[in-house]
Amino acid sequence: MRIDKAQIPGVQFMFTVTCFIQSSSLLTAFLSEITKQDSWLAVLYRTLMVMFPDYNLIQILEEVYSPVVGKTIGISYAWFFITLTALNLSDMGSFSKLTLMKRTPDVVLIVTCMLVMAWAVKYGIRLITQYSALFVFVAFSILIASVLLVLNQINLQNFLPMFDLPAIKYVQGTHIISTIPFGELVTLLMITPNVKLTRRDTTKYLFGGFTLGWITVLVVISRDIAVLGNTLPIFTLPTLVTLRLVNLGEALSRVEILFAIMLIMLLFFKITFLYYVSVITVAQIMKTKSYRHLILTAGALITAYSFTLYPSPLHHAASAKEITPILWTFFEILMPLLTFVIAKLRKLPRGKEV
Amino acid sequence: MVLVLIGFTLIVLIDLVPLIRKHLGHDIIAFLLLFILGLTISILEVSGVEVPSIMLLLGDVLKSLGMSY
Repeated sequence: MRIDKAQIPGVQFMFTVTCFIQSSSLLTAFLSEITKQDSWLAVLYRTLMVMFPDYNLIQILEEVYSPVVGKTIGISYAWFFITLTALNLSDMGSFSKLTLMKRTPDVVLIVTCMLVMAWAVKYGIRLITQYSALFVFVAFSILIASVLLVLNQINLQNFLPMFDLPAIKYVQGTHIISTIPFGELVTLLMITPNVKLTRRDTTKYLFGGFTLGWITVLVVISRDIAVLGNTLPIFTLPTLVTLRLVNLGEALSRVEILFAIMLIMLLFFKITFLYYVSVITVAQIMKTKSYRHLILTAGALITAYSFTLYPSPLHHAASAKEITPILWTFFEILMPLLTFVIAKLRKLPRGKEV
Repeated sequence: MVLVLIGFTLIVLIDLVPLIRKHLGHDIIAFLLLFILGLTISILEVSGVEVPSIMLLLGDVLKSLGMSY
């Protein structure tokens, strides 16, 4: 049974993937390394999407592991999606308070955002992803402008010395970037039935979105390292600090507002998407007739939950470096991989060409 | 506290009452699960009770197992 029957075109799906990765790339405090090897995650998700084109993640789990075990794993995924939404919401609240509205209490900012997001979720996946192309275009424009504006601050010696860190640091960096921006794409498996694409188009649009997102991550991190050098790890929002350094006379300073606009826009998109996925997951597990009656109550839960996660953005950044990659590995890498292997061994889905 | 209770009452009126009228059992259970969790956390926070962070707790468990960077 499908909860939301709306369909989205491939291009919209591609820009959704890009937007999703871009929104994480701007919070680069915990991203220290960048490798292209993460594309194997996209291969894994693409394979599951092609194998089960009519199923969302919960339905795949029920098909592969039996309804009871599948539902149990599904409940853990519901917690994972709700936690991801709450974490991003908490980030957005902290960031808005830090940069734009210092005197406004967090709770007012977060509740206001959640109400607008609830409105978007009510109209389904079609509306949520409708403006993804516009968001990507604006984000790329701001990104290019930001690189041009800090050209006079770039010091290429900041990239040196190369390969000077202990091996474990490279493993950690690769693990973080695999799980936080790229691994979170596992949420896309919840909208597979809403993206009716051929096998070739699935590959084309998923990898297209992945590549655009990957380019953003690469440019953002390279620019921040080139400008900030060894001081980069001490900031919770390095991109904001980089743009604060822009100074081209009286007229062109304080351009960090561009970063604030871009981050809030992309985070808004990501949280709305995660919120939708969380509601759809609960509705799918509970086999409800519609998901719309769960939107407000799920929003209230996510809002309250977001205040309990971390006492400060510093705790959040530290946890993202040390704990979260290990915790998320189960949901983003191990479970999809195990599901794929078991589905192949059991020759699932039965009666369909794989 | 009053604002929290008003907010949750509005959610009940908007979403739960129509579900009860339509006798949608699964929908009511799903609604109540989310609602009770949300209401409990909200009341605890508003009352000044420190709700333990599940992320920090899980972090401590992983660290004690030697699984952290």
